[in-house]
Amino acid sequence: MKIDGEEKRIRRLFSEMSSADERLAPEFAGTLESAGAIARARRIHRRPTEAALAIACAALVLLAILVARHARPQTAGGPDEQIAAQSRPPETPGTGNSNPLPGGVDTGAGVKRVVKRVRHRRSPNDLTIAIEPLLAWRSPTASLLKAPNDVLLKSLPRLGESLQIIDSLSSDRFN
Amino acid sequence: MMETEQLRAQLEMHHASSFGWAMACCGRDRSEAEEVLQIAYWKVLEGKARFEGAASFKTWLFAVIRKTAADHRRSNLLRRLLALRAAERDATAPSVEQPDESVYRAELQRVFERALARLPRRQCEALQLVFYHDLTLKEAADVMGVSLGSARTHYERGKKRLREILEREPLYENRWRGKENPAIVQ
Repeated sequence: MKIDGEEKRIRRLFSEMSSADERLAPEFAGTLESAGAIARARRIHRRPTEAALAIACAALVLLAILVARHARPQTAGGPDEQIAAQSRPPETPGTGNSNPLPGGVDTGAGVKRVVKRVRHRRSPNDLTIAIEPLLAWRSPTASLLKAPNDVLLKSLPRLGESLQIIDSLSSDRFN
Repeated sequence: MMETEQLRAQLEMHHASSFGWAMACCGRDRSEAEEVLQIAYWKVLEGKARFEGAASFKTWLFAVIRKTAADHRRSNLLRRLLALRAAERDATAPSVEQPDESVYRAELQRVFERALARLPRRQCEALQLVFYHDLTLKEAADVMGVSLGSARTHYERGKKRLREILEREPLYENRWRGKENPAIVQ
């Protein structure tokens, strides 16, 4: 660094300031002692703070548990109840719960177990009400899958039988 | 990592210059500088601030003191406002010229400190680190936590501004132009 006259003058001013500061500087031992006192004071101050924090955390956890317990009976339409409602078969008299759903999905023992699991929280009537709109629902594009020769594809003509005498394919049906 | 005894020895070695730097960081407030120095020593000895050896110990310690002073400043805003008022009162007090050399020097020093106080903080820090503590610009940049280019800019602008302020001081004018105390009668 180039030291010009201006820098020399500034350095001299700072040097005088440095000399003045040296006279003002506290003893190193005293400063160290005060630093130790700060450390002790902060340690003492920290203990009650930590204890208060721990108590506050414990209180929060307790409160959360209490709120969760209180709120559980009112949680109608929870995830597992929805699963049960969707997979439960229609309750028609005399058929029981083992009827297959329209889509051919088997509602066997596994579904029954799910329904049993949630039944104690919700009455069967409530479940029926919830299921009805689901059962009534039909895909808007389902009609596109129907064709005139559906029956032909699903039935097998007997040996020697003419297509004309198969009742399901008579011209009356399609006209 | 340094042992506590080594840290203590290093702190003792740099104690005087650390106090000077703490004074600069605390706007020449002695009691605040002492407090900041105590907290900085506590940080160093308790391991709150760790010396990793990336820079020299002095540079690192100065950075710790600077950070501590900044935190202290923020937490003592009210005290700062009071100090500012006191400084203003001090600045507006009429200066009395006396022929005595020591009084004259003390007055010069006070004017110089006032001039430094009028500099932006970064400029003042750059000048202090270079001229007072004999640090290089690179070391000063490390302490201030800025790039070398930025430190150089603060340094150059600080010098220019300091000269402008001192040139306006009647007491300083003669000395700045190379003349000694004109009040002393030979």
